[in-house]
Amino acid sequence: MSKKILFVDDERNVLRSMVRAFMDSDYELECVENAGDALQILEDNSVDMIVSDMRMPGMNGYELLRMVRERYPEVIRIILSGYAEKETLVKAVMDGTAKAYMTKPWDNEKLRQEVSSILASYQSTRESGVLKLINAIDRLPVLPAAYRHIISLIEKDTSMNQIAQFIESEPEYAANVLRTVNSAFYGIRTGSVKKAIVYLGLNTVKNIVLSSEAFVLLSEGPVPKEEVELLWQHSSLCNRLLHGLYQAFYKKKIPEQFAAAGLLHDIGHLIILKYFPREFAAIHAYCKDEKKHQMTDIERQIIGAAHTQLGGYLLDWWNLPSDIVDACLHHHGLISDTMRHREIISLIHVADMYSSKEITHGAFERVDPRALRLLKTSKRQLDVLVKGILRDA
Amino acid sequence: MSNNDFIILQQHLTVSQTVFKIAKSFVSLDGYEKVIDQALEQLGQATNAARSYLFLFDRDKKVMNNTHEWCREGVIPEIDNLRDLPLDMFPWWLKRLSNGEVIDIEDVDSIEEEGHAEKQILKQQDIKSVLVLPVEIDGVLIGFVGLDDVKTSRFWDAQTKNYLKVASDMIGMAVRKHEAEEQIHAQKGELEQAYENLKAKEMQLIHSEKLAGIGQLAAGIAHEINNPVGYVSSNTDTLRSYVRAIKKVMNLYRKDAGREEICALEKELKLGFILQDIDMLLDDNLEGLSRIADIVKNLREFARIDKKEKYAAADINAGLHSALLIARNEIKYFADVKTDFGGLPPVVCDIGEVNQVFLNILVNAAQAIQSQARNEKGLIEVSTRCDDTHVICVISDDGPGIVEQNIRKIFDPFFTTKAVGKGTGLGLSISYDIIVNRHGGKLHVENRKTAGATFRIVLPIKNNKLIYEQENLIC
Repeated sequence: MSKKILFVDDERNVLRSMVRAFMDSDYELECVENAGDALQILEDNSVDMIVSDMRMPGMNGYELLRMVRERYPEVIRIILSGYAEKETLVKAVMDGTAKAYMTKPWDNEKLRQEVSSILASYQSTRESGVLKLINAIDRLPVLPAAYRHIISLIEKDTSMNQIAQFIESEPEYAANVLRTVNSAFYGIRTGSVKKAIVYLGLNTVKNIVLSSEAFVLLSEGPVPKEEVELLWQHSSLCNRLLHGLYQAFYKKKIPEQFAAAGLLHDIGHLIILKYFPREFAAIHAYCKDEKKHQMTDIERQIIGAAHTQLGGYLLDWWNLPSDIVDACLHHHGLISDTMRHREIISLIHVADMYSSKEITHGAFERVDPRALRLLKTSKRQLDVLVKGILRDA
Repeated sequence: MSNNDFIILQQHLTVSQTVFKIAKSFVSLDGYEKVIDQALEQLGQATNAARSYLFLFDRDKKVMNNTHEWCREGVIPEIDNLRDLPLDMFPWWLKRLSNGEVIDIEDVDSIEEEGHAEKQILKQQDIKSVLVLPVEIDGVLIGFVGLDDVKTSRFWDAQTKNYLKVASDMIGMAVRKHEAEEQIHAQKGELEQAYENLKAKEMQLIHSEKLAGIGQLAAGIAHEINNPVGYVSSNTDTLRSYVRAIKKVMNLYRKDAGREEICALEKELKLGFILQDIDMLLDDNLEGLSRIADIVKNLREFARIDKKEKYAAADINAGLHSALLIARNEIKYFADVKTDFGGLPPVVCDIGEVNQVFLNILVNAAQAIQSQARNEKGLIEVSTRCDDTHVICVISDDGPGIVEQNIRKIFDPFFTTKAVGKGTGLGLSISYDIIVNRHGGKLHVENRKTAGATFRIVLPIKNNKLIYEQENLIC
């Protein structure tokens, strides 16, 4: 069945050019000029994705998407805006109102790629194997409380100072924030969460809190603590490598939405460990024996879905931006040429591989040659870079 | 009357006349230095001394300085050896002077044990006899006047000493008057400085208000422009695929186009050229649209009004890029730009302000080249580098450079060499304020060996000062 996309923009010219841009695609398009009409369409039809302008007379795009989030949480919400204030767009994604934003003017080809890539990622987290496992889980942990509180503070435009104070009141999360900023290759040493927010950005700090809290939540009950500890160590190291590699490759700060990607990328392992401990052991035993196989393939064989998909599902369900969901979904390679953020996801993949090797002493898999090609690098160069980063750390 | 009495009477007359002259000169309009020098000379002459001099204590009475000296011909001046002497060098004198006494040493050799320190020093200078007069302000000792004789021992009668004490009292008053004047002068200077600072601050405020206004306007316009640019570029892209389809069909038609009137019409309308040119035309349009989009985006990023937190980790190369784009119109008719950007780590700064500095220096460079009214275009070179702790940005031009005597004044508020109405003379002083005071960096200018000027902007990568300020700001 073809996917249905709903475009909302008060300029008819824009809507017409959208129809033209998607003329050759398989999507079914609906175009409306205001929020009221959009809600009417959603009421009467099943829609897969809504792409809305921000500034519109009457109800604006932000309000519309919030309402959609409440009433139709399964609809993927995207902003397409010519609105100048980027911070408003970043905020809308950060507080979960939209999954992603794109700006006007847009490039038709890129827009098509983004739309198809977001739909594909969504599809991948909703495969029947994944849904079967999710349904088997009694109660999936809801969005962690501390993280939810930070989101509400952001929504209320609370000052950075108060947000920092809140994080400082949770020693374990504050420690993880500081650990990240102190090892993030900015050459700084600090004991202040406020400084960390200045350096890393609020988005990153927020995601660090989320990952710390998620680890706590998912390791409650009879979960083997040593496995959790190993996973956390791996996640921290992977994040550190990611920052170091990004700095080495691009000589600049890693984009904010990915600055905690290393910490969150393997959250799917934790789900398997908590809810399917026997299968977890089986998968890892198998991986050790069958080094030729992709871990994700083995997981699909044994439990019917990969940890990347389960992690992606959870992050998506928690309403995280599609960027971070993609990072989780695709970090095991098989990176296609049209995928969004393919360079950075390749780096996450590389960081994941090297970190696994470091933590478990022996890599399960090899680095995906496509990632090497995308990054225009070689295994040998990466070996040297990683060695340097590990030495500095 | 004995001969000796006569000599003493004569001396009384001379000294009293001198005191009278000194009193007169002190109420004249002559400057402090001049009247003191004159008074010392007159005292020296009148008393037949070899040397007369004034010592003044510093404010906290720790050290004293020989501030003025008069020497008879053939006598070696000592003033340069007598700076910053500790007050306790002359304990015996000081005790007596503090009581308002005039110290009269007929013969240095006869100084008793209590004046041991003084004796040694006087002998070192080959002084035979000396008269020391206290200089006081409101009864407090602030220095002394000395009259030396290097050859002979001297006898001073009480009346002469009284006259001389009046002279030293007058010197005390002159010093007091001078100090008061100095104080007023200093206060006036401070006031003037404060006024200048205020004026500069006010101009800066107006300037930044203006910039914020432009930023706000840019943001509003950006939205208005981005919508039409959005659908025009999207449509142009779609049109390209339409044209491809039409061409495909048409080429097939044209193969069988035997009819004469079609051929004639094709020729008349230059269809061959149109089909050939249409792709380039669409490409040009798309390129133009993407440039419009780039300008809007940069204008917005440049003004940075959408940033809530002032200080954040920022990309300096991107900032320079946007400043170059904004300044493009000022530069492109007069100079080419050569950029050489090195890899830079993120720098914690207020990138909006730093961008202003870049823009300012770039526009100055372009105007300097323009001022030469030369035939060929100039060259502006922009490069960035970094070391472990700092990011360095160098902007050079091959214009006339800066006149050597102006190079030190170039960062002063209101200093400008531009014609009236062309510049406020504030650009570089604001730049200096932004880089040095607000970011703890360095802003340096020098002339190039060949031609033109080089500005060097140095910013610390990790800026604890800023973080500290920001923490205070948000508390």
